[in-house]
Amino acid sequence: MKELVESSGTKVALDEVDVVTTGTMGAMCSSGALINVGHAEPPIKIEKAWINDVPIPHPGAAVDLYIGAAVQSETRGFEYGGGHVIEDLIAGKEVDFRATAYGTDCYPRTRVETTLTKEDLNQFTLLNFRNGYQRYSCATNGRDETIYTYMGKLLPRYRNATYSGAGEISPLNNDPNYETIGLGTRIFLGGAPGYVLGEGTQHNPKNSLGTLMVKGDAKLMSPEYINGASFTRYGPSIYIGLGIPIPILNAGIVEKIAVRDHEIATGVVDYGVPSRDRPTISETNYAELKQGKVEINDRSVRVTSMSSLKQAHRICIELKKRINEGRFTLTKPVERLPLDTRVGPMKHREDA
Amino acid sequence: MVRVLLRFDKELVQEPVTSQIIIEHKTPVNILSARITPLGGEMLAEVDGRVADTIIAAFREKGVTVDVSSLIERDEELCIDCGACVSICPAEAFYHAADHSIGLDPEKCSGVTCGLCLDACPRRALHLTK
Repeated sequence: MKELVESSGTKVALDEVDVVTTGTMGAMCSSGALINVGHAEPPIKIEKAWINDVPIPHPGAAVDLYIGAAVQSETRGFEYGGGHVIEDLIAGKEVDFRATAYGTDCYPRTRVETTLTKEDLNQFTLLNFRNGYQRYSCATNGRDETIYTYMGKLLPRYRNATYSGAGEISPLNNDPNYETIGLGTRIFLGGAPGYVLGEGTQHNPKNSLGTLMVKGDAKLMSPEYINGASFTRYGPSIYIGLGIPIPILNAGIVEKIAVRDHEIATGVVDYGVPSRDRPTISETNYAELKQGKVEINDRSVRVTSMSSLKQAHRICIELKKRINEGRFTLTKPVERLPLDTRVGPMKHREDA
Repeated sequence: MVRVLLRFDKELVQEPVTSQIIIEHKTPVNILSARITPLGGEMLAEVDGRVADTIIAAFREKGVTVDVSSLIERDEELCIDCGACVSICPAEAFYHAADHSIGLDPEKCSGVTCGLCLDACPRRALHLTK
């Protein structure tokens, strides 16, 4: 499509193309799965729960639990976490479940231990608070020592750099005014149909840092597109495969979809500075990043992706195939994503 | 050239094994990287393909463990082609292939003498050849 607009112009592209598929697959920590494990006999109002020794928060009523992707195992530490639990369940594996409670008149049981598969869950819903960042900073490290971050392992003195996001094929870059993406947009999530629920947390459209909140039935998902991850000295996370179809409704959308990697700018940020406001030390764009070299202090530094470009392309192709075969239909959003959201820092005291 | 990984145990480290083999066989042994302590160590070296079998046999005869297989093993089931291993590798053994997958050139890898990529892989798909 991008080549078509470049070679034949907007009008031809508008006439010939109905839908463009976009995709990305990166580590998205603010993800997880809502599960309902059913009631025991006698029943239990769960206070604390674990799956494969990963603590599973209990946000509400008796047997509803949320598997947080970034929660680490109490026995295996960062090597296994909620993201791995979700992948194991999706893959059909059996997991060890245990829970404790204080016991009430209506829920007298105080402990339960069992094994579960996804078939034993009433609901297994992937529910992600922040996915699909429009673009992201390129990370490097100016310290004298190697640091381990959620952007990967960064060698001392700017010896390497990493980036995330699929650039010109990433969903929100192709619809930066959110004309077709919003509450109710059907998407490809982990290999299954999913939906956009609205803006993701820290949605920051004015700085081209839009995000999405999404959900989907994890029972239908595939371990090819949902993968647990361990970031050394940072913690566990999860790779989420996300695809969004963009209907070509008018010439304006064609022009936006024609965006190329070199037009998507981002900053090279020093993650060696442990501050909320890490310094940006140079500017780059996704074309440069994908070529594998970035300029830092007049030196060419090797840079690579932390998200899977191969999987991002695969998702675009797979989604296109499903649309062509009639297995995936597009929806019109009920409400568009906001364009004016503000992202503020935490309000806290200096000393605590 | 054939790349060989030589493992020396505590006793062997005291002997100038490599120098002896170079002199005895009148052939160069190019040392690419090494990690040697009084307790033993590993050395990655390159030898001429025409005499590789003779040189490998000579090292083995002196008690050195010689490994000629690949140095880093990648579990293809676990790898999701992210690229976390690419920019960290000083030998540039990992690369983005044309189809966006992550390629591994075992000829370039320094293996056990380096190992920088091992804990950089978020899928824990990389292991040293035992």
